[in-house]
Amino acid sequence: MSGSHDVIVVGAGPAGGEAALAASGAGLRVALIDEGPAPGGQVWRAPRTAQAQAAAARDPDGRQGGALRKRLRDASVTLLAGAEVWDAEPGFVVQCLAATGNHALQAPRLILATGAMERVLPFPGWTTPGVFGLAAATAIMKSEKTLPGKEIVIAGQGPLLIAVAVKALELGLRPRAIVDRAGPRDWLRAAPAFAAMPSMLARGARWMARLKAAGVPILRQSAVVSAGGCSALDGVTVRHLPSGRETEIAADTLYIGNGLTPADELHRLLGAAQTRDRLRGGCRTEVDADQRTSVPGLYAAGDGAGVHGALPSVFQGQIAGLAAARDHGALDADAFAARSRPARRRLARALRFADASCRLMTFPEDDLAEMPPDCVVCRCEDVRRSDIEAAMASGAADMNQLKHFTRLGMGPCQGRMCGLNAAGLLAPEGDLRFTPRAPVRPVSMDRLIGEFDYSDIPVPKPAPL
Amino acid sequence: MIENEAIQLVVDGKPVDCVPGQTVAGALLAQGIYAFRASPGAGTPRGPFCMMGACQECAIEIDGVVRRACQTPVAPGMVLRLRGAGAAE
Repeated sequence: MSGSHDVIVVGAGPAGGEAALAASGAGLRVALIDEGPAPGGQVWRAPRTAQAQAAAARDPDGRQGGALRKRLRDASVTLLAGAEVWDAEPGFVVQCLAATGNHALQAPRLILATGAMERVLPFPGWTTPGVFGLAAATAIMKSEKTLPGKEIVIAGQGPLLIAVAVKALELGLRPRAIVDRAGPRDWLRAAPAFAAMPSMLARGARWMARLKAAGVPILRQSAVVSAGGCSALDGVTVRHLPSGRETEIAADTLYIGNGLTPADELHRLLGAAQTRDRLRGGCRTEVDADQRTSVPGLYAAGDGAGVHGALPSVFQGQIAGLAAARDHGALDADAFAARSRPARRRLARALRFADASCRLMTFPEDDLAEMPPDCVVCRCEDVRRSDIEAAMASGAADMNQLKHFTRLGMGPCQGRMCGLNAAGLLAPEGDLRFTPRAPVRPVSMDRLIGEFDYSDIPVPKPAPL
Repeated sequence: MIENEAIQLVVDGKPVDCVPGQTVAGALLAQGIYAFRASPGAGTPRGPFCMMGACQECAIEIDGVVRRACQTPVAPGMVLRLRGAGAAE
């Protein structure tokens, strides 16, 4: 698998899968790497159990994922699944670890389609077992057709709340409540843009009707402010944001999410220019109309470059794949224009819908300031808000200093869960991030070293005395 | 690859049944096991959180190696060790 290709694509979700197919269709030798066991990314995640496979065949996302996996099987794309990319060097060399060991792939062009991660606004008790991300619910339902919990509460913001609640009902699990930060006015504001996609609007209306029929209460303009229980969740406190009124709901499982943020470690590691953009998940990678970043030979598409959702990702991926083929000399200007035209037209339409959805999912940055002092910010190292404030009082002014003072971000998640939240506490108007460094995924030395033997080390002659 | 015969895992010495294709995290959660480990700092109980490989909260000992339970498919006879979950150790 290690070796040379015309283009490497990192991430085999809607953006990366389409990018790989477009580039391969234009004649390029493509290597496609994904962390998951099969292509599809998060939204088109491959079903893994027999039950989940049967369910996926009846679900729109499931069918689209299945179609992408089939097209990739039929195409001459070299797929490396179950491989974690831990480094990308200029030029480009991509290092990844798979079950078969470490692979170093080389190509003059690299397309990053790394997708998004979920953001959760920390609250006391969010580390209690039984508290999950909202996207975790979709992940486990898509791959295993189960949802942990008996008394579940679904909280946070955005269209995913409704989607998860409906899928839970399908599994025979009636959520105790949906807790939505948004109010009816926020949803109404999104309605005209949603109407641009009649099929999506119709699906949303059907879902709302089913929740109403099942009697699932929707608490609007409300948020979970704390979770109780020690080794297991026993309930959540919900605050109605305008009035401050609080209610307790008994629950053994909470699914909560406050929007998405680009998984942009590799973009930053390679030095691609970025811009602060709250609508796109905090920060987006700057790209031209053909998805080229500021780094020659480096392209970015999909949510990893700025959160847009699955549909725009498909078209951005197609454009990126064709642009790589164009820049490689496999397509002339006319062929490139002709092949990318349909994707550009569809992208413009998909973006209107996506923007409305992204607005509903914009992370509530201002509420970081409301976090109580004893609330854990860095889950890996148990760093609380009060620890961050003590470090700030002692002179920590940027993320790297904060790390040195408190160990925040030094645990196995490498700051994925805490980085943006800590940055928001440190300097709400700043644009502070950790310095990106390889390895961007935890890699164990023994797996990295593989068949290495001490006798393989070239030992230079000692310097003469 | 996917068959319907149940697979048995060993969790802290006790047998646990699961479905082929499940992840280790999915299998344990289905049994009502939510606390997988204790945080190394304060020692508070932790369980899976993101279910997509980012948060590392579900990392437990799988066949002697610490791995993310949400990214590891179950295999017959797999031996799992929870890491001080619920301050049990």
